[in-house]
Amino acid sequence: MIYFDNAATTFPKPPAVTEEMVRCMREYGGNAGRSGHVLAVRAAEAIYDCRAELAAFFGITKPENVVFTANTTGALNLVIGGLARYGDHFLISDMEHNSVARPMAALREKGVITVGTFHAMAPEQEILRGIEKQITPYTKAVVAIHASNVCPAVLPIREIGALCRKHGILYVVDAAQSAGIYDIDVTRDHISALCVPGHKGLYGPQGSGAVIFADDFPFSMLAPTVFGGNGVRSEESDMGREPPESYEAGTLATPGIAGLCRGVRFLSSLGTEAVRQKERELYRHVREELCNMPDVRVFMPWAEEGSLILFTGKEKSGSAIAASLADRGICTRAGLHCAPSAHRVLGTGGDAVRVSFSVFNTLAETDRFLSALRAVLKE
Amino acid sequence: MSRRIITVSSPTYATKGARILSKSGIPARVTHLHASQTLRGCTSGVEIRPPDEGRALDTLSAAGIPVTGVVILG
Repeated sequence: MIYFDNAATTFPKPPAVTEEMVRCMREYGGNAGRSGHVLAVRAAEAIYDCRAELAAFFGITKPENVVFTANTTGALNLVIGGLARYGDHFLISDMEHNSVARPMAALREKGVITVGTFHAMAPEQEILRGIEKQITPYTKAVVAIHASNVCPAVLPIREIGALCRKHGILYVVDAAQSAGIYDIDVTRDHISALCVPGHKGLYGPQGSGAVIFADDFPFSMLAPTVFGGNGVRSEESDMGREPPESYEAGTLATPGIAGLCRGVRFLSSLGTEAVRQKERELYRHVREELCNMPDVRVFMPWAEEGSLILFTGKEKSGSAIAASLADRGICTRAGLHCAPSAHRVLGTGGDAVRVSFSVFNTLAETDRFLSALRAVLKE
Repeated sequence: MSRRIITVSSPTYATKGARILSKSGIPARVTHLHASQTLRGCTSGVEIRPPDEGRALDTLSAAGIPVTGVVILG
């Protein structure tokens, strides 16, 4: 089997991730913050270790500003839902994943907010002008992807962050496809809230994710969106506005968080530059070969690097190609990739094949994929 | 001898506080107090030796740890 669906979730994981999850469940799987016995305290220590690793990895000094979620979608909903107030204006790109597009649409349909969009596939200065001209006195935040989940488009987050800071608005980044791959520093890049999945580029398990809030994030502006027990001030009905517990109702996924901690340590030992270099090599090889296939249309072929590549057949649909590849033991993903607006911008027709890499993929695997694709296209 | 527990606003701050104190040479361990032991219901805290109380409070304050009180048990 060849796994080229890492944009959905990375597979495999480093062995230490699985080992730690099993160790947690066998040795210290108590409920953190609920009791003072040894298992609860050890679980709390493991969770704090992960907060500290993520804080250091993403350039903040406060581990308590790392709030765990189940995934990026949970992280984005926590931030968007928590920030939105009646009359607020938000700006998003025209290539957002449904994890941004849908909560925005839901709030807009309820009449709570208005939403403006800026063009993501444009030169940097045009992107910045597109954002700046739409900022109003009611603009609360820019909420946007860092890297697209369907093509190699990457937004200039440092410049957008600087622009948001200049105008006194918040900047929320969907780093689902960039966390662990690109060098992201929440402080340096003027990011207010960075939403990350644990299970993609950070090589943690599914069911893990986080929001990394800036050291100076104004939590008074962020209302909790999930209410319940959190081991804090139980006699009070108010969840409060103090991170992380005010935004983490219910029992945390301790084994998943323990595993995620190992994933982040694995990445820290590698470095994001090494990850990008590896994925760039795979991407360029596949791009070159795909562009030489007359029956294939590659989207954004001019991009010199990426973690994923999107293509479709001129005669065969993306879904048919992906199904045939799956029959040959090659895992890809076809369709809209939960990002219909990105597909509209790219003009894919709504059905294209995405091939996405991880550090565990090899050039030999890409050659086997390309051979299989040639055979599929001849069918 | 009585026990000294510096209560803080969350389990996360209890862990953070204990580590900061330990790094500063003040022995500390995370603990959890029940509602009957506090005025605020269940709460997390850091247990230190009574002679270290003053230094521990100063260290936690300098680190920005929100201290909610000191509970003396025993």
